[in-house]
Amino acid sequence: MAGMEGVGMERVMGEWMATAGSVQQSLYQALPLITLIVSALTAVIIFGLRDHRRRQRTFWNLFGATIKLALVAVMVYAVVQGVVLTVSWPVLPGVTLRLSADPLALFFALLSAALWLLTTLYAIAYLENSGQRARFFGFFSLCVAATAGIALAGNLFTFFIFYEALTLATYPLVVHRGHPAALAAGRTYLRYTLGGGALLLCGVVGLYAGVGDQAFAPGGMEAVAAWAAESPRAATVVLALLLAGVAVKAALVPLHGWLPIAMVAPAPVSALLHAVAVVKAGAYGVIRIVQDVYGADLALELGVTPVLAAVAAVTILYGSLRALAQRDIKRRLAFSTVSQVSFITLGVAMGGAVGLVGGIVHLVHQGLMKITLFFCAGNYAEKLGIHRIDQLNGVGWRMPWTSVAFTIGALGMIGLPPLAGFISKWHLGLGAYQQGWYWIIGVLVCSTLLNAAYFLPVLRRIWLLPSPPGAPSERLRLRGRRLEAHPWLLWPPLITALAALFAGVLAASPISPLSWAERIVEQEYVLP
Amino acid sequence: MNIAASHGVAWWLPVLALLPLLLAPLIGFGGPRWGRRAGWLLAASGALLLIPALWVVGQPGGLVGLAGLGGPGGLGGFGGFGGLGGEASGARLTFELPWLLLHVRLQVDAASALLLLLTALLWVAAVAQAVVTTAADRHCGRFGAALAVTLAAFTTVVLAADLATFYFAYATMTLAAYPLIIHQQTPQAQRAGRVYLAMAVLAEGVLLSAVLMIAGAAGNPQLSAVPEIIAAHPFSDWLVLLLGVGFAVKAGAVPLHVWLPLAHPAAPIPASALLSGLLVKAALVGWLRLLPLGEAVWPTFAAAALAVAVVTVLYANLVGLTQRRAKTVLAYSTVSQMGLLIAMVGLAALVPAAAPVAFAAALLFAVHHGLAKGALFLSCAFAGRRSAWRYALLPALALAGAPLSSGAVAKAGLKEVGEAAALEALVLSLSFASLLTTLLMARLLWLLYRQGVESPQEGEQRGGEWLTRATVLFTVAASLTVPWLLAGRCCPTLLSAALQPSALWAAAWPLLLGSALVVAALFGGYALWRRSLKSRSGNRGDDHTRDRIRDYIDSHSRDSRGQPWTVPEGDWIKPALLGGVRLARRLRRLWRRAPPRPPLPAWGVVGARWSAAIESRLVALAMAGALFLVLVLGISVLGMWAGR
Repeated sequence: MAGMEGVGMERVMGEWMATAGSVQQSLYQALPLITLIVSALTAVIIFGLRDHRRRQRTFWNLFGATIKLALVAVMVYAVVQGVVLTVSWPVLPGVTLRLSADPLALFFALLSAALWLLTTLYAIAYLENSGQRARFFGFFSLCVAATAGIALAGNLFTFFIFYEALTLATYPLVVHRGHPAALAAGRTYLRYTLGGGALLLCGVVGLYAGVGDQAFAPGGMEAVAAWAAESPRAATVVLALLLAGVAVKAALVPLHGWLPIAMVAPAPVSALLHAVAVVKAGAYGVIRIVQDVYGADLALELGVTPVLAAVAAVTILYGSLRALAQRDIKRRLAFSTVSQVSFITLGVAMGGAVGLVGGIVHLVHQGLMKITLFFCAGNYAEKLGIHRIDQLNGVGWRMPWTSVAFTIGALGMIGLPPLAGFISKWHLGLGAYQQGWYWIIGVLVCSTLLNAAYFLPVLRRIWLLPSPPGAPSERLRLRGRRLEAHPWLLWPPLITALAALFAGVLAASPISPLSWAERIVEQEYVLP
Repeated sequence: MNIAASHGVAWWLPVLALLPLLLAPLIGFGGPRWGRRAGWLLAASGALLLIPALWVVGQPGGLVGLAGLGGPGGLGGFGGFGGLGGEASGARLTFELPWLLLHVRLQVDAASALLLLLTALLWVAAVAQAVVTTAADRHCGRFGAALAVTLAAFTTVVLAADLATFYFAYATMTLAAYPLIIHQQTPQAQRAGRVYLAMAVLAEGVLLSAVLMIAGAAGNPQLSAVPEIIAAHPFSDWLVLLLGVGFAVKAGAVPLHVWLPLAHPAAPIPASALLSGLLVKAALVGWLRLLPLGEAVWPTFAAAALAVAVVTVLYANLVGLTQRRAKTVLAYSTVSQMGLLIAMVGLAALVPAAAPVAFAAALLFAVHHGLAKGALFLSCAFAGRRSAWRYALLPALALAGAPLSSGAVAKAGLKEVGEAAALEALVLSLSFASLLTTLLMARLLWLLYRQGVESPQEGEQRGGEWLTRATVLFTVAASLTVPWLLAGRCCPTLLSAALQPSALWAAAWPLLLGSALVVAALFGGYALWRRSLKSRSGNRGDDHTRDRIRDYIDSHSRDSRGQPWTVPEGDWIKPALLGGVRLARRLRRLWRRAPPRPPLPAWGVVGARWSAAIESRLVALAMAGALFLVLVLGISVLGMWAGR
């Protein structure tokens, strides 16, 4: 009896354990979904808080960001173990929502999660005294939830849904200040991005009409290849539509006009637009569409990628030239983004393993460097009221830490070794040579020169020119009770600047973004 | 973290590259107290470079890589110089950090040992002088930090054994030198800085394209493999030209030399010493390590390099003679001496068999020139004193190649290249170059002397007088001895060759001729003056002879506007910049004078016009339009019905 009972207990326990295990297993499997829900829930909770509940809001903000970062870290661990976590469920017959944590998705998700944490810290300190904070931080969280959705999207439909959600969630942030210029910028932003969304929708519908519901596949979907062999013209048109749709957010010339205008938004939003979410979503879309929907070879065969590369090259040079003429710090940085993000597109468009590594790794490198620059520009504006470049004289000795971070970011943008920008440029140049597209090396060199031409004078002003007479403090203060800015304004740029430095210095080590980008590309190519 | 070091001493290599970088923020932000201490530490850390350098020099066969020098015997058993890192070249220290940057590899071979030796000596002296003389400057921290970064970068240029690290260090060095040049923040210094930065960044772009094309073929190769890669590269001719031009700016090859005569007088003295003694040699390192010389003949490049070398030597010396500031004269002298090194590179490209000898001779010459020029610049710290020219005398004689000086042995090395390449013309033209250098050095000593007599600045010197003097004397002593010791160590035959009576005479006659010319010119000038005095007034027996001489020279060396007649510093760049500004102004004026064009209508207006035009057409066709609509509707209804 006792034995029977024992056996029964064992069986029950075993079943229970198995159930628990399977629940655990399915929870593990659903991690991409949980990550999304965490960000969205954070947004809901923050919307529910009153404006003056500062502590609670800060707690929930940081709690959400930290949890999300931890979840992404777990998924990264899973991918390192060789497991790709996937969730999918049908929403309509023939259309599924699919979230999948493959290496490329985690590359972007990790970037956005880590930078979200820092941007949140920064935004809390930056917007302490402005109104409508609940609205701001609520949409901030929604924005990052949408970005996580874009990153983890496992098929084109899911990608499109979150891509549009991002557009809508960003609008309230752009117009946050509420003055006429901000509202005008918001209108321009919506006009561009909704237009792009419409093009993308046409492309998605065209693709679903052609091949049905397919998951992203490294190297391109087989069904698409078959379809393109059957009706190449339709495939070309659909590819062009898809790329034109994402090109708006990727700020390719001539669809870049919204980005410099959206500069009226507060600094944390600029950081979000330029480094974490919006522009990156466009560039990420280019990677997904060219690599995982069509495949680089097919896209080249259809004759689309040479055009894309040419557009990217024009964008790189045009953005740099326009940046040269700007006097406002943030506008110059905005045109610099137009130019720099196109490196990603260029790397994808040129095809070949090494160039692709360069493009993908620039996703992270550009994010780290540009967010540093925007944080610093925000600090200058917040602490010293400096908005124009000619006001920067001698700032280096008044705000040394911020200026050191700015310097690292700017030198990285120029592509000076050993910073992150150099590693991207190196791989892009190597890839261009191996593909036989020698003119790209010329574009890279010209862009380096132009970048030097618009960043070096800024650095010269910061460090080498004397401060204007009557500047409040000439004394250098590194330690002591009064820091140059609130620590939450100071630490994020320093951390991202250090990250940009170490992404370059330790590029060959296994923990660098470069190694991860190589891992992504290895799914498809054999790297030397 | 698999770090590979070939020997215990190799662990010093990363330390040497990193130590100044760690000291830089301390100097920059440390304030007067800690910054100064860190500055002394920086000066002392230069001496650490001697550890690996002397280790390699001290090894048996450590300088086998330089065995090309010293007659045919020295060439025996040595095949293929191959970028100085080839397997054949003696003892080496190597250090690898696979996870750093793009797999960092550092190495000390014979060539880098020589350059490290030069770097160590100049570093200690120049930084010590900088700590003493710039202590009271407002931005001495910034200057010291830039100095530290520049030195770290130059050390890494010398130590680098892979392409990416080399390019990284070279680019950093280029940018870090900029704050050194503009340190005094006068308009002159700012202009010099702008010219330097613009030229250097453009050259950097040229280099980057070459580096990317090399790397595209081979990833991030060992430097020693680069010459072979270039030789086998489909664009090898282009690469050789790109590398030649890219490094030529740093080397100061005419006509790309203009930043040198602007930057040297503008920068503080220790910075000029380092710029002239070390930084311009980075170009030599680049050429020696990257160019595929000794593998094949590169006729275009060789012709271009030799032509540039001849023009550089002649032109720089002649323009230098017209200058009125001691440091500018020294800058032009540096340009002309770099012309000799460019000639060596050109010869190596022309006669592959002579490449090893040419490289070894160029390195020995670089050490000699670096030390002598460093000593000359550092002795400018005493400009404005009667004794200044005495400090400069010995290094000036060495630079002119006086017998028994370090210049004599270095030039004996160069002459050996001429013999190896079977170019007798080279030997003669070297003597001619010595003659020009003699004249230029005479001009320098005259300027230092005159400045000491006319505008004495006693009491200008701040504290640490004896230390400044010690640094100058130290460099002078090093410049006199070290090249001899090195020559004795690597190629004793060269030493004995330089001490032959015929060699002594060969070294002496340009100097004697130059001195004779100077003396003749002085006497000639004096005689002319006497005659003109006699013809003018007949006034004799004037006591103020010196003043009268000066007035006479001044009145005959001024142009119509009373400005002193000289070639402007940085010869062609000033007219070019002025011309550019004037052209831009004229264009702008023309642009403004053009009749104003009517403003373009707004897009909305254009759209409204277009739609109005279309609408008016439609109204004209109203009847037809309505009929057409009905037709379309009817067809579609029919179609739907038929489809069902």
